[in-house]
Amino acid sequence: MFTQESGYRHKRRPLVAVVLSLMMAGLGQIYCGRIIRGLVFALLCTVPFAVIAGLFIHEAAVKVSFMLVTAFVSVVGLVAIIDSWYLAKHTKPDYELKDYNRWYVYLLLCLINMGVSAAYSLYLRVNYMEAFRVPTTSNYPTMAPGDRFLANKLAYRSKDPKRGDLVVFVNPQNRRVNFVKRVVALAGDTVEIRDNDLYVNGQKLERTRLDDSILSKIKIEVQGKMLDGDIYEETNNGAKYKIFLKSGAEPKSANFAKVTVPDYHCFVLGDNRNMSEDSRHFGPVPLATIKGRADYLYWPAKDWSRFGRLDPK
Amino acid sequence: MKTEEILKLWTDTKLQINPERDFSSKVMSRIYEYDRQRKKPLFDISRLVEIATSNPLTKAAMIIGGAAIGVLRIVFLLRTFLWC
Repeated sequence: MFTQESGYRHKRRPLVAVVLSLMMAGLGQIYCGRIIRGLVFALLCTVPFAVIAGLFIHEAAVKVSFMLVTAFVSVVGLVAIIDSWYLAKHTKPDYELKDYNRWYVYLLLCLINMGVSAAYSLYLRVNYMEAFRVPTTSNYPTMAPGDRFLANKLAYRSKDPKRGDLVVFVNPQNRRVNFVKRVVALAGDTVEIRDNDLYVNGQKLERTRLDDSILSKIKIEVQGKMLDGDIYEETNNGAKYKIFLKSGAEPKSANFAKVTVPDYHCFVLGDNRNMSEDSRHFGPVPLATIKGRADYLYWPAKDWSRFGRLDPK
Repeated sequence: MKTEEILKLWTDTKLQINPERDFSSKVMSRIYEYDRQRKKPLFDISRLVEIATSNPLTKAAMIIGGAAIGVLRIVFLLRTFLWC
């Protein structure tokens, strides 16, 4: 029997609109013939990622902003799904297909969206922020093996590093590898280590012993043995950061003869002072080889309360 | 009877036959079916959708598939940015 219903072959189906919206915000609206509305939804779900990038760069309240932006994108995505369902439900049954109402157009839009997003991500990586993974214990307790962090590449475009900054730089001995260490002295400063005490410009850096319990959640093993030692808070030119001194360390890592940092260089040390390969081994680091400042821990291998900024106090 | 009379009688009888009630629907349906089969493309997406939306299981599979593609898209984006 011929029915009017079976004759409406291009009737918009709410289920299809919802599925398309789940695939990409805005696609459901385009399916229902509302291309402008669809593109607006697609943009609303993409632009906030640029906002996050901007917040990272300008050092705003990242944690809160990240949550707000995530919430915003989720709400817009949800609204897009409901809206597409509503549109499909209320579109005339004798809907006439538009030129763009083709499956390959939807696929193409999805691919374009992914391509643009990927290109934008790569652009951010190259110019603004790059993600790194920590493979060693050399910056324990600030960083544990397996931690992932973001380095701000704009931090030193208009100013030089300052004491206490965690910087990412090219390993002078192997240019394929990047290192992350803490700047303890700048050009013109003198550096010396005596019995694990750090002297900058002849002044012994103030150090406060901290309770071992603060490491209880990020205990790590080295060669099958639990890493044992003392934790201190060191103050360097107003910057405060934690350092770790391994128990029974070799005496040679506890002492370092006085050197003066040359121009356009900085002296870097790992926070795990007795287990780090740093300026004591390869000398001061040229400022030109610094890639950026380690700013945000976005994937802590242990203890997620460490998520967020890595800045010293 | 003469041939002309027989023909006239047959024509009159034929004219008196009433078509069935749903005659036009049947004709339209046949035309529609014929048209559908004649133009049937190799990859008929609307027919596939029609089949898929007729079963609750395939409906659920469609929604899960759409959501999975959406999540994969976001994972791809994050992976491109945070890859290290």
